[in-house]
Amino acid sequence: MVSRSVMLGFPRKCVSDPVISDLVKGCGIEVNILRARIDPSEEGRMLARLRGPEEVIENGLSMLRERGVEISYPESSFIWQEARCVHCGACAGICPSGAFTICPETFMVGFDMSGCILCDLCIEVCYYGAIQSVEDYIGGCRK
Amino acid sequence: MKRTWEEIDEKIQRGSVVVITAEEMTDLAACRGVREACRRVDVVTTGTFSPMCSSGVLLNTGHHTPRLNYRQAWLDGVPAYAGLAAVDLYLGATSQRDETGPSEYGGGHVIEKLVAGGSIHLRAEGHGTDCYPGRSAEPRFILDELKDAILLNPRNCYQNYNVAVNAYSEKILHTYMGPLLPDLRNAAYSCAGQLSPLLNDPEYRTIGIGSRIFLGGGEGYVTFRGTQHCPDAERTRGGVPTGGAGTLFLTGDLKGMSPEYLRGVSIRGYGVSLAVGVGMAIPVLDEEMARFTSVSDGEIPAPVVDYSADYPGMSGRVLGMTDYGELRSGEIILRGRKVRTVSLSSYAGARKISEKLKAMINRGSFRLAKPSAPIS
Repeated sequence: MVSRSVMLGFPRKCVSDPVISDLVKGCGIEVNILRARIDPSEEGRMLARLRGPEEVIENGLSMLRERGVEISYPESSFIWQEARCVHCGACAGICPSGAFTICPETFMVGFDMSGCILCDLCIEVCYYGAIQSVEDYIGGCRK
Repeated sequence: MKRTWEEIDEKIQRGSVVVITAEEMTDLAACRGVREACRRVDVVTTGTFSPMCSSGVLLNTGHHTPRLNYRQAWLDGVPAYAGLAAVDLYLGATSQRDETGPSEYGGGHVIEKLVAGGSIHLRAEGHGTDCYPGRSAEPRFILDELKDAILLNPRNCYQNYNVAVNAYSEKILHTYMGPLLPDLRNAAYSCAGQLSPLLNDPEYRTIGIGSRIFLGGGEGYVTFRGTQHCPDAERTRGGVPTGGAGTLFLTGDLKGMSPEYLRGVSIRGYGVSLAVGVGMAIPVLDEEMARFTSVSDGEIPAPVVDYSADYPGMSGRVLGMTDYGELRSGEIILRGRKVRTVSLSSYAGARKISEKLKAMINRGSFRLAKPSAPIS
């Protein structure tokens, strides 16, 4: 069994299809929806954690792709927009797991997902809106 | 070894000036000595990029038909000060859209949006008088359509600053220095240290009224001493203040500045502000200026202050002293314990500005201006 976080983008044409239901019933994948915003008249986005045998998950994702769903792997509950980052290092100073670091030579901020424990403290200390919760990002609201 | 402002300016015009950043000056003086650094270098560039709350813009929108004398005004919903002549407005960086509590959008964000070319919504109200009969207007405008937009910052570039900690409260404090964790679990600082303009000219020998500066990505001037300017603060033997001391009043044309160096900030639980990028070029007039500009982070002390009781209660107490070398290492020792440090000021941003200013001087596109009066 493996579990994997996926960000699903639903184009307008498949917003009314029961794709997640097919993923659960048809493919037998456990789906834990973390955040979602789907509006029948617009495109939708969903952050979900999928659990099941690797092969089964792969089949499920192929099925989604065939139906026009865009798939990306955020692997975290926030988005770091490096273009908006000023490299003050406030995130590195509060990150309890060392996922955000500041390079001792360049003083530039770096991020390594493998250390992240999804505590979201970095979102609070980023004054520049460069680290946004997936929820805010999905909602399209820039701080 | 001495050199004059005029000699340096001639060298800039001829393209033969030797200019290095304050970081490079620190390294050069450490390797070759202050005397040799003085002999080799004409100009040292500095930089800082940090939230500076005492900032704002003075706008003139041009007149309406019929004429309207603004008495109250909001820009993108953020209140501006209209107690000036008819269509002049001052928008402060910390003015908030939501006046009932800490807001996520305010003056700093409007300034960033303006300088990025965004369209701003103005709502203005007047009393309606014989000469200014208009009572309200709601125009939209972009920066280029304004008659004037002047960045007017009454207190910038604080010469040294507190290191903030939470020593006594059991809950997280939400301060302008960011979240401070209980039990001294973090320490927040906000200063570019060895790259900071006023720490490279601690006695204000070359930075004064009329100094031309890099401001917000464009050109600006030191127009006066800043509010709370305190040149008499305690100093080290080398002349470096041991806490907040000098401040500068900065002015420049917003047209020509860049959103890369003027960024709205939103500090959770506190409010909003504006991060400002500032750079200054310091002429190495003599060995004393060479010594000042070769200051290193380890030689700049910083006072650690509790923000749970001492700072809000104005107790004046300092928990201990540290320095910017330790702060930048990521942790300091406080009461025998390791405490993680958090920077609010972007050292990478300060370095970028000092490099940019160096390149501008080398190209001859930035010329130093000798002050007409000192700020002290």
